[in-house]
Amino acid sequence: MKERLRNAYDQMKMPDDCARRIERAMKEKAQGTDGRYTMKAAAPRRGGWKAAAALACLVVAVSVGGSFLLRDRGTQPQFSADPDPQSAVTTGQLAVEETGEDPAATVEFLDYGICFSYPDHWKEETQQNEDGGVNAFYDQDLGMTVFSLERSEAWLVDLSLEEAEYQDQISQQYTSGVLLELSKTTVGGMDANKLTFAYEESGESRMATRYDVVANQVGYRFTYYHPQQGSASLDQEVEALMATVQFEGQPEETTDQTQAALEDGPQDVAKVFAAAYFAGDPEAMQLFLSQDFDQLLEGYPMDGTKVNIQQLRGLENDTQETEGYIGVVFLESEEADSFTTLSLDMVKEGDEWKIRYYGLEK
Amino acid sequence: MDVQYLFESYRNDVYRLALNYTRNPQEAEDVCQTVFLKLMEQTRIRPGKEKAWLMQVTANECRSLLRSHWWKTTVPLNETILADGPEVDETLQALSRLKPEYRAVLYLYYYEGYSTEDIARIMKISGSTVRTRLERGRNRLRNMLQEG
Repeated sequence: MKERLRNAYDQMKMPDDCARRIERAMKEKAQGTDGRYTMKAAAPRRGGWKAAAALACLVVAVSVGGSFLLRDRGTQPQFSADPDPQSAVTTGQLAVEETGEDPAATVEFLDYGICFSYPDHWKEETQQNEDGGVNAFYDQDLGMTVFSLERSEAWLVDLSLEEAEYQDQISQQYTSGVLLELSKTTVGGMDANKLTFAYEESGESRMATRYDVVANQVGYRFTYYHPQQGSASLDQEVEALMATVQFEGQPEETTDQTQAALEDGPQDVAKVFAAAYFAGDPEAMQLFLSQDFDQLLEGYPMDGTKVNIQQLRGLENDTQETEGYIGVVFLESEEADSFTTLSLDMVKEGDEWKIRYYGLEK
Repeated sequence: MDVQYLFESYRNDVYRLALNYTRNPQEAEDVCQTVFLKLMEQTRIRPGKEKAWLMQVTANECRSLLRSHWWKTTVPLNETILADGPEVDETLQALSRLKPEYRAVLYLYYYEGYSTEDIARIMKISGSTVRTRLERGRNRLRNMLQEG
């Protein structure tokens, strides 16, 4: 596939007339009204007065001597340190922190039907709990986990709970848990409950703020773990993060999302896994294996191109079960006089169906 | 910084990424113009990092475009490019049917050769999101090419 994609991408080139238009625009910008182009100062990054002072120095420097002229064709390139454009990028060495493009450097989290932006000095880790998935975010500057996103079935997040009921929940989940505040709010345009509570961890008093919200039949819990000494900048980062939360489900994407949902059902996963199995593609097969998979990973032992899949038996795509069996019934070849079944033991891990075991049966 | 040289060197790379995102030649051209005009305003790009900067800014511009509701009609990729052979035509057609975010990661991974971590930085998404999109995009592309 890689070769096929490369051949296709090789055909994508900027049309010559487009290139001429852009060059003309660049020359016009370079020329300006008095033959000089005044550099636009870079937007300040987060950092308060230090960034502002640096910006002031830059503006002064630019106004004194800054100018930029577009190189005329035919003259020697001014940048000659590396004439080979392909060597200009080495994987793993992107200097994205130098772009100055986004003053509040953030990373977008987009998965499980939700999208939000978090600070780029947080490190994301994906975990699982008994109810669903957990994404924990570790602040590398503070050296602690400061935020988590839990996903679960919608019924596990009850927005009708009153203070007393939340107090019960907090005291069950946390050592010496005490509800401090409860209020109604919105997250991503959806109704949400915001609660702040105190608890003990390793003998020390801690505090956390949690947002409970239900969207698209999924329960979400965003939890902000306050540092012991408090941190106004972290408070602001979390506030900024919550303001960026969006839940997927725009009308123009409905068809794609419906299709995506169908394709992610157990039968659709089984089809894709079976295709990889018959193609003898262990790399693709690996993507669908459960964390409990412990057998030798092998593809179909015969010629998979002759296989004719007849039907799938077992779990349906819209099943409410979280584990079960799917049998991919096939004929080994046109001449085959009996069916063979690729048996798949399926289990749902988080939001995704995985293969826990597979084997051939006659 | 020699912008003319950078334009001649990387215009196709910027255009390819923009076209993969937008699937619209006019939108891709507009993105390219915006990106190179922004390049003229930059003073802080280290030598040797220009391409990385260009790819990231292109991704930013395309994302902003995709998020706006002012969105022109998209065109299948195989209708915008003179395909060199039926296999290329079929591949472009299949790529057209993928979501923009899948096309973008496939392009950056398979053609540009970026690691998943680098793609995460370019597209400002998490590493797990990159891997999910690669997996789903590749599987869907493969299914479409097999069905074809």
